[in-house]
Amino acid sequence: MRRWLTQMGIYGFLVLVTIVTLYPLLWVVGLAIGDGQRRGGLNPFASAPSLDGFQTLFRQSGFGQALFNSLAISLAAACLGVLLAATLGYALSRFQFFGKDAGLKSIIVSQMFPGVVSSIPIYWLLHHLDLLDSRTGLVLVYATTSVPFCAYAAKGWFDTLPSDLLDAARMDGAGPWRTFWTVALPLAAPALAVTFLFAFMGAWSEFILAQTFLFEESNYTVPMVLQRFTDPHSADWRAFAAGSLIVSAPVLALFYTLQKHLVGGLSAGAVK
Amino acid sequence: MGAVKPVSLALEGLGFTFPGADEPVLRDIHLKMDAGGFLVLVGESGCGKSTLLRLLAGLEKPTNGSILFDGVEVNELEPRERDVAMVFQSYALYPHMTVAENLGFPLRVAKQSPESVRSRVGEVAEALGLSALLQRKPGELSGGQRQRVAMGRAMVRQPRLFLFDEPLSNLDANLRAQMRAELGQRHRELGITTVYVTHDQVEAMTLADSIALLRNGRLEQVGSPEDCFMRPETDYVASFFGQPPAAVVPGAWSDGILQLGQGQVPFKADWSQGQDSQLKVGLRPDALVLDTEGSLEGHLDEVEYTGAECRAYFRLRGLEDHRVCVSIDSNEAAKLNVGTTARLGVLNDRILLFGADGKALRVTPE
Repeated sequence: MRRWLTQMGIYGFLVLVTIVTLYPLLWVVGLAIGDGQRRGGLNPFASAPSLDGFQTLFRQSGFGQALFNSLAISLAAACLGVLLAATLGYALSRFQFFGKDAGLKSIIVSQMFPGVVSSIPIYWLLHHLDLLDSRTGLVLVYATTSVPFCAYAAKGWFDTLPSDLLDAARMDGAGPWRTFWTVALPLAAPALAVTFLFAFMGAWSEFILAQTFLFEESNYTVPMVLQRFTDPHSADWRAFAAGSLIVSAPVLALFYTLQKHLVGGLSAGAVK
Repeated sequence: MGAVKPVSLALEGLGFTFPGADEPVLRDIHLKMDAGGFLVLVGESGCGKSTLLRLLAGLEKPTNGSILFDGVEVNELEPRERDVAMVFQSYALYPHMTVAENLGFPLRVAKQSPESVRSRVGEVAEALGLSALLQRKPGELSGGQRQRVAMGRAMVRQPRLFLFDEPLSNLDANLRAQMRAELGQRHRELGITTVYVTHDQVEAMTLADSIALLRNGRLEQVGSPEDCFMRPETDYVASFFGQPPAAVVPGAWSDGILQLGQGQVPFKADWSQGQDSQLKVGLRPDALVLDTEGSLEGHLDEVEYTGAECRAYFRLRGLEDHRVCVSIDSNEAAKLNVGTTARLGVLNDRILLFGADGKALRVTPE
């Protein structure tokens, strides 16, 4: 009887947490596909269904262009970031070189500051590289800001690779690059999938740096476009909600395709 | 398979210290090995045998001394430039590649054409009975099959020198015996110089034409399996080889009597090196026999049944700190009671004598 009560208590608590987590999301969904007229009190789907929100979104404001920009920038930044992070992580894990410890520590320290702190030096850099107001510039910014965390994660994974494997590749005649590309990297795929996801999401949802470095409307990213719908004088919350749903789609899709690796990647090295 | 010229090997004053460590792992190793030979490195864990193998492989570079292949120093050469292949204890198969890709990897790295890679991989797979498994991944193979793939990957390039790091230690006993026989067979066929690290004495004795026993980074003895077993140069060697190894007990000799604890063994010998000296006496299980007239008295500690023969462990009177094994016939063992005493005779020509410093004394009993 007491066990039964405990079970019920646990279930009740979990149900409550689920509702608290999901309710705002459901509200956004209800808002996006509703007609904007509020009817029933707490029911998020009380209004009549309508796609006006999506129409507004695409008809004005260059949302399509922004969507393309965001996708291109985030994918490029994630690919570049993961590539840099993988090589850095491998070097930190497998090679002895001058300044290795200092480098590792500075990576950790750099994670203690929000990225915005460096926006002024980055602005100066981009200005001198003639990359202000360009998507390439933003790709470089996003890729490099994702490197410290991703490299640290990749190093953790490379640390778990048995050194025999890398020695075997060396015995088989492979040089350091070949060993990295054909042995270490394929085996690190699960960890790299996770770092790719983090790098992608970081770039995809970033607003402040994009707002600082991009001026021309044709270069805008999705968060910048969405922000305009929240203007206190002319807020269109329906379009904003519709946009938010569309923004979530790629992340959901990525999570779905990478979920097999995600569990393995996050718990990598936990059990040998 | 094409003709390969196996390499002869020489180590001269070889020493190795890990970067940042105080104590060297290997010191002053001198060793010569003929082309086509089979050298087994043995020793306790941490004696430096695996490190020596890694030095030969080129995975580590020596701190002192030199490694010579056919008389040419290879100290600074990378593994691929030395033309050596290695089989790892863990097999170290690439888990994301199929058996065929694993076998072909060294050839692809050497930029051979896809056709020649395919035909060579086919040859090796055929020779090792792996043809049906070429499309499997290592995770789908049994321990013995993985071991064969690891062998194949080492053979495929036809190296001048094979290095094995405890290749059979992850297999169960029966498979180990089978693979050991295969390995010996293969070495006889290919005739490639081989250096083999193991802690298994049976492997060492059966495979080697020469055994090198390492102790704390130094060579204790190099010699044929028979030399190591029958003519150990130090008491450490005697207490290392044998199943069970020789018991080394203190003793003393004077005027034709060998004193072992409280027992006095008549031992006439032409004794030139140090009379009346303190000795270390190595007793193998075949050096003592049950004998009611025997000159030693022992307290029976334990009897181990191993099949046709038994191992009876005695504590000799006056030498209670040491356990001495006597191998006896199962029928005789049935008559013995643990906890009782028995008299033991000594076969003078079977005992091993060492000076107080542990060096062997070559004494022939009259």
